[in-house]
Amino acid sequence: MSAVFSHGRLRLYLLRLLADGPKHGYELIRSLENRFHGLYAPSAGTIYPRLARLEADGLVTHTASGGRKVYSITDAGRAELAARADEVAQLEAEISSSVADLADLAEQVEAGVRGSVRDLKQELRAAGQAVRSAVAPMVILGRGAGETAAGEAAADPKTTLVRKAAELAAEVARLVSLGRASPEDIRVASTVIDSVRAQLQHILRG
Amino acid sequence: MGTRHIANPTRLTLDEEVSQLDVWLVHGKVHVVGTDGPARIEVRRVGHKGLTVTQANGNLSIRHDVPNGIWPLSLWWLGRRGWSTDVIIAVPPTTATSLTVINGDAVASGLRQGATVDVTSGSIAMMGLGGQVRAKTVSGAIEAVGISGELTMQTVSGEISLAGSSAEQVYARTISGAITCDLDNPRAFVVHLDTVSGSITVRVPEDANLRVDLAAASGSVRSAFAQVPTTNGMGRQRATGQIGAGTGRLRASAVSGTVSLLAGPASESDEPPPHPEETTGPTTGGDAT
Repeated sequence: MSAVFSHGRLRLYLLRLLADGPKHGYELIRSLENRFHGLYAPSAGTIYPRLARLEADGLVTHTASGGRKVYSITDAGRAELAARADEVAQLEAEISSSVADLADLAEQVEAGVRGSVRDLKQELRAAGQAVRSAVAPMVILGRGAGETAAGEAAADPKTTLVRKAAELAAEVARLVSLGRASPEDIRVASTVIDSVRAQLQHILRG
Repeated sequence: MGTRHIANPTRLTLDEEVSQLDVWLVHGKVHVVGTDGPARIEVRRVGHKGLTVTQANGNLSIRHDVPNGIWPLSLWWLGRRGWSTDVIIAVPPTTATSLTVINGDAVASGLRQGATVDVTSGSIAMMGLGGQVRAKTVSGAIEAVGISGELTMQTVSGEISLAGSSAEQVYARTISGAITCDLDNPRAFVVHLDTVSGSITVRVPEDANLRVDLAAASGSVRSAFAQVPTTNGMGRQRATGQIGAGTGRLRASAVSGTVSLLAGPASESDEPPPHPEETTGPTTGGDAT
């Protein structure tokens, strides 16, 4: 079963809410929240990009009222809503049943979390690639390896590293001997050491 | 209601008020939903060891009875047999909630006054939580959406993801796993993200007000903000700078992995704060027909 708001359906539901009358972004968020008994509260970061896209597609328009954007549906938006009336009815039915039935509600929540996280990762991956291509020249042109902190250069980094590793072992022994850690803590700490060791091997082997 | 032992799948509706919920499971899955109406319990699966439900003075406790003297870690080994449980619980959104699962998953949503979720081996999912939220697992992922308030997430081995959240404080730490964090609250906040092995991707609004310090020991650092330039030194990359008024603080560090700072859309600055009744919100909102 898919999430109530899988791809494209939140957009459709925003249109549906705006068909009841103009609203600003914050009111839309509150309307959604009320519809889901406070369970689903989309963030501004979820709502505004979708409104912007709806506007770019000519389905909604906005007016500035008191320095705040108030969105309203356009004729094209109403036509879209009418054309997808079945889908809207289905969505409304799913929303109602999802709130009434506990098991269903639980499923919706999980699907919602999973879907949002997946969408976010996709979005950020794309945005990250854009940044990478934009900053790459900056990194090359920017201050390079020549800029070395004087303090770090003074001591031999190799000696420092080996000394720190020795200090770590001593510190662990001291903390364990205090006897304050629970068996679970000890196990977790052990996992941490394994992970750090794997990392060090990875880094230092070059 | 007192105490009752549950041996078979069942549904309960509680007529007494619930203001505090404690769940403690050896093995299985717990899902808590904050919603209006009476508290409800739906036990979908229960092992032959059963489940004990106790209600007294607004406290609801749902737990596996474990003989004294067995400490939790041995349960992690013994686990499974006889304990495996799947339970969904609906409580009022204001319920103070604490969930513990040794081996299994926990899901919490719609709780406005904080939640503590502690899993040893398994994942945590959270949606629409407020107040002080703490999620801790040893081995498993943490995924959260729409969190406000103060959020702490910790895992040793697992990924941490935070989507569309307005949390004012975020602490996320993993040893081995990536951290993805999307914040849309431009107000002052404190964000600390740490991983040893994994990448960090964090997005803040363009109009955020943050002092930023990003560091990667053996990976690279990327920033979409010109105010936060990347510098190299001793093969170690850093990016520091200030966005906006710099009232909040963002710190992210990875040992091996990339740290990326991305710019999100500016939230509307005229957005009323979470309590519209304390502002001029209703008067301006009134002109919507």
